[in-house]
Amino acid sequence: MHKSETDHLNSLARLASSGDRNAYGKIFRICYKDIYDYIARRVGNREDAEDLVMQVFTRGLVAVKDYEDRGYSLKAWLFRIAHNAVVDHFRSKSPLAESDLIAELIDPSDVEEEVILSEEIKDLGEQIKSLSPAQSEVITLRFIEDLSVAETAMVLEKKEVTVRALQFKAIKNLQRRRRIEPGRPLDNEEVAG
Amino acid sequence: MNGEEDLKKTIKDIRDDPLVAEINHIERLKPRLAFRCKMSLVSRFDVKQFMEGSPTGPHKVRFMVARSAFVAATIIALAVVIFAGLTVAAQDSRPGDPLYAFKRAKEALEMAFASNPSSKAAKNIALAERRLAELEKVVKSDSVSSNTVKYLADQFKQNKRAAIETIAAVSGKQEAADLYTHLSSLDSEKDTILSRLSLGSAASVPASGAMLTVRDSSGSSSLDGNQRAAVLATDDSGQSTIKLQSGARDSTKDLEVEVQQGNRTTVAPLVGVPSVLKDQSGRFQVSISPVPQAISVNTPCEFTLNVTRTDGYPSGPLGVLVEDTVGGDLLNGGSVPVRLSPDSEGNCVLTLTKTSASVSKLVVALDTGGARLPVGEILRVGGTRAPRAPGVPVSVTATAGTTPSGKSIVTLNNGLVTVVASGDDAGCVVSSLSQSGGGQSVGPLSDTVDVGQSGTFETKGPSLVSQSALSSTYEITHTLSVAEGSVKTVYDVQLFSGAKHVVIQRHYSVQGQPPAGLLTPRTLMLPRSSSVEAGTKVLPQQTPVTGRQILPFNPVSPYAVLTSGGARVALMFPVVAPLDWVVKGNSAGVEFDPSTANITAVLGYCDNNSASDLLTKARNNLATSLQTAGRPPAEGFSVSFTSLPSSGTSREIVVTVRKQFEKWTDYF
Repeated sequence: MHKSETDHLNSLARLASSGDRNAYGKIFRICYKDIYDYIARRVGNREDAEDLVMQVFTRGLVAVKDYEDRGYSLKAWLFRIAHNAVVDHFRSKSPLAESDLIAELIDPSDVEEEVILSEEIKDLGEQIKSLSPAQSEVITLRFIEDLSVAETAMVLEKKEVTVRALQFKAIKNLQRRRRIEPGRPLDNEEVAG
Repeated sequence: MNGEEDLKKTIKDIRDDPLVAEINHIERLKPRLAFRCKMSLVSRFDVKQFMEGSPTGPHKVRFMVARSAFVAATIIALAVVIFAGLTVAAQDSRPGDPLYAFKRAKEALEMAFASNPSSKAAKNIALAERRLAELEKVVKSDSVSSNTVKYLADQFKQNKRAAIETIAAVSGKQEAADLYTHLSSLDSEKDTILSRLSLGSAASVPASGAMLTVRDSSGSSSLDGNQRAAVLATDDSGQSTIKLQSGARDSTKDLEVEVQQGNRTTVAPLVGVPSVLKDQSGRFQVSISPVPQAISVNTPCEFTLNVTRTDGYPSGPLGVLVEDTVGGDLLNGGSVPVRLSPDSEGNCVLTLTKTSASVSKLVVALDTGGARLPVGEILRVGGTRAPRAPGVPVSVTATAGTTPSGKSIVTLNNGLVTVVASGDDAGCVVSSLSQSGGGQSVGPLSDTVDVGQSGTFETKGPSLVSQSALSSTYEITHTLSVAEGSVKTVYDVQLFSGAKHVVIQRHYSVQGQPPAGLLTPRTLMLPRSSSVEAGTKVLPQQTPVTGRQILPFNPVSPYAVLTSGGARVALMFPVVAPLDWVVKGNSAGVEFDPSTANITAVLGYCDNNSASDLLTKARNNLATSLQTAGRPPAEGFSVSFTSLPSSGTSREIVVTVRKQFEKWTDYF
């Protein structure tokens, strides 16, 4: 994240925490697409992702009053709320609706959506999703959402060393799956099992 | 280089890894245009007030919109720019959603553009229809707030009224008739939705416009003008005033009131009797609980009688004799006193079923080993008749018969599957399940334990518990008895209209202190030609089973899943189910409530090889049938009275009647 954006968000956060709702609205307009991307990757369908983004919006609205700058970006703070919302979402789902089966979560009536979704998460995205949930989440937050190791650790409530180890294992796993050699450009090689 | 340093170095290298670069360039998942518009609108609003744009504060929403010119201007400006996107986003919103206020604002705008009576009427009908769709969504949600229902009802009525007014001004006769037909169809749709809502949600509201018949059940003529009965109607506050002859002896003691409204009737005594009495000698005290004014007809109601000695000493062995003095209505027509034996605490449980709505009187006496001590009338209770699923034909048919050995047998058929439940086979819950019109049959499903030489096993049923448009439920009872006590297992076997599965609910009750072996491990007799999977979470492997097998249940292997031939049939019947189990493949499942040890099992045919699909259907069917079957308590009227100061030649009593059902329907 650019420093100027971080500073801008943090100054908006100060206004929002003192009760300026317009400032909170601005924060959300800046951040919600990243939040959506993160949530959609985790829940695997648009309806839930949209509902959860709205939930993050509402939860953040309540929590922003108590927001304190602790050295993390405001966006990381929103990711933390999003992470918790996703965890709650899966907890509240019936035991049968496990997240590992995207097909189960898509309304079968909405074929068009299924096609779009599968296009979106194909290839590397798909492989990231197939990692263990912790590895997949670390990679998403670190390299797709561009959070620092410290911020990722804060969002996931893990130690920084754990985040580092997870990202290391994840990259190794991805490399093994794609059978790539260091330095060689990536191509469309068949995925190894 | 040790391992830790190696790790640090490699982690550092990762940043330069081409794969990380590629991940950095993964295309973002973008929200749809409609959602982007929604976020744009919501984040620009005075957000907190927008969130409150719900029926709990509909006036607030209107107030808010009117108050803030800026906000109104924002709505209009954005509506123009992103109208299409917002239409999509808002159309599915319902009361309580952030975008609901926008949806209503948009509707008002559309209404303003309706120029002639015909389009105005059509628009009002469409809006009334939309309110019903929202009501349907609200009904299906977990919590229903009365404010939401009232709000939707008010809007529905408003649109309906406006539609009727504008239809009158439509010039084309055929067009007017069509609009009116469409409008009328909404009423039946509304009733269907409300029938689901009202029966599941009892609440007490004044019964205005109810018909009251007041009688003196003693046969005397205490009512004013020497009448035997007076017919009155309640006013808006559910009240009515009856006149009694002045000086009539104890004139309210034997008065009873029959309340009638719609297709429900409650008969209730105006004055109850003391629920705690002493016998004539004053040595014993007898009490009863609960003390209802009326109980539902044909619904068993459990009462507890307690007998204690007034001096605090143990009462010793004695019998409690209860007798219904008005025709045995409470005791299923029994004319002789029923004898009960209190436990060491002096308690005995009595299950009473009223067969008519009239007021019954229960009289108690004590038997202290030869001497009979009269105690007196301890319960005076009326009855409520309420239809369970009014006006809809039964679509699950049940045929009852007798097996050659004289036990009862019931066949349930919903046109898709046929279930046979027979009392012939000890331990058998369902004798067979097959697809109607032929096809492979599964079963029998049995649930048995070995009671050894000293014990007995008895199967009772099947007996009809309830039958409605949606389902038929039969009860089968297994009782396992040994000297130390017994275990009663009740199975409710329920077959639904239009569904290819049966839901079996198993409840336990334990009397005395039977050995633990009677409760667990349970064994399950599997159908022939089954393959079996057993495990804790992911079901590991299929073990073909030839012939009948007994699968012991234990906490490590808490359930079994089986498929039978190519019939796509499965059963799951655990004793202890983990909360997070997953079933994969062609099977069915079970829900286990650890607090009550009750089990709900599903046995059925899957169309698409999906266990979750079958389970979801079963769960929905069960929830709907529970809602529509009505819950026994609080479905009638409550009656209370207040004496006014006597004046002249007559006394007056104000009777207040409250409904204990259909709160929601009152709003429409």
